[in-house]
Amino acid sequence: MIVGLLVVGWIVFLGQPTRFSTKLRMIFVQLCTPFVELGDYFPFVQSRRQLARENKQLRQENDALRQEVRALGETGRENLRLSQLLNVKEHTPFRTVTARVIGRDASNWWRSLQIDRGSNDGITDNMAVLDADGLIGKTVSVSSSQARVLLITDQNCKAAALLQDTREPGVVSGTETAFSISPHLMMTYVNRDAKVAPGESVITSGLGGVFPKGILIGTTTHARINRQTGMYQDVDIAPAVDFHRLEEVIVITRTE
Amino acid sequence: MNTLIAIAGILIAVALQAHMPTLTWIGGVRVEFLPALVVYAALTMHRRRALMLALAAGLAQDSLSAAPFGISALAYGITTLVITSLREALDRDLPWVQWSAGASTSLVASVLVFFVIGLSFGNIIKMFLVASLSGALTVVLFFVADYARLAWGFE
Repeated sequence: MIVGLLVVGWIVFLGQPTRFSTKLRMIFVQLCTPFVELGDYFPFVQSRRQLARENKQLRQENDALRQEVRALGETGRENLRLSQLLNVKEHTPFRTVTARVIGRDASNWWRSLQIDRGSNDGITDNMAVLDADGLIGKTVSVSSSQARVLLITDQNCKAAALLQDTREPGVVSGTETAFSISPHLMMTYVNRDAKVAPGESVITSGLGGVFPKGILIGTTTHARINRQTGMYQDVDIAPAVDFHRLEEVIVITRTE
Repeated sequence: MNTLIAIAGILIAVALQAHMPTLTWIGGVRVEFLPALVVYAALTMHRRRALMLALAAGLAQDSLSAAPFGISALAYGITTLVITSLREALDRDLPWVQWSAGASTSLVASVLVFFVIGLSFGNIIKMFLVASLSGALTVVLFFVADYARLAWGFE
């Protein structure tokens, strides 16, 4: 008994992430996933699934068009800047895989989703995940036929970001606030002299290599000077994505 | 209690947990079924079997979460060891004992999590909400499972 606990303790505190723990996790994922997929047949989710299936084609087309419009808007801004610098760069499209959300996080302390695509579909760790509204998160712990998506609203998921109008950089991640019902995002390390207008769009900056540039994260709601350092501003962000109603997502498998 | 039924219960509970939406009317937390199952096993089954089930339940939960793999197993393992050690002193039929055990199991899991994600006021409020819910669910599980055991004659 004690040995069992010591092994688990070792996995958690010393051996994370080891090959052994990764393999053990995959075994448990394979064991649990059929039960998770049974969730589609629970009475309280069945009707929603049927509706989703009926509308899937239409929504996919709609999503693609909206994403294209948004990308074109950002491309336009980019072109303007690059033209001013006389250095035009070609905007390359993303290569994507569409996946269905089959489960949420089983714990209260992390924010993640399980999707029905994995390494067999070309998905690896640290790939950006989005939908028509904007950024959702990145892939973590991928197995052959499913993957876990760490949501941008999780404290451990950080994205390099830009305020779209002022081009001020910062880092966006999730925060946990008391009595918070909806997911909450915060952009930190924003220049303390930057003028942040409520409602300004926040997009990924492309720094860091995980999230391609120009994906909408959300809109600013409130800015204040960081009380601990006094050197930066913290900006509250309303997420662009409704994380409670995610059913299908797009995984960016290649950006070039 | 049949071990196979317990394992099936764990798999169904963890799958349900992964499908449950957050409950906006109680502060955006999600119901956790596993602490109740772990406490029920700890107060009902042989110590070694209860510990094995607790570890399996924790690993199953962690496999369907972005949590470090094994952290819930460690929490459930520790609480199972403590509860089985105190079993002689605990009257398992008292609802407040059931509630306390369920809430404590959830609290231990939350405290371990704080070593990873850090402590904040919001997290502490959430921890007590989750623990209260888990305690209440434990009382319900004891009532239902004990009734089922009596009705169907499970050991």
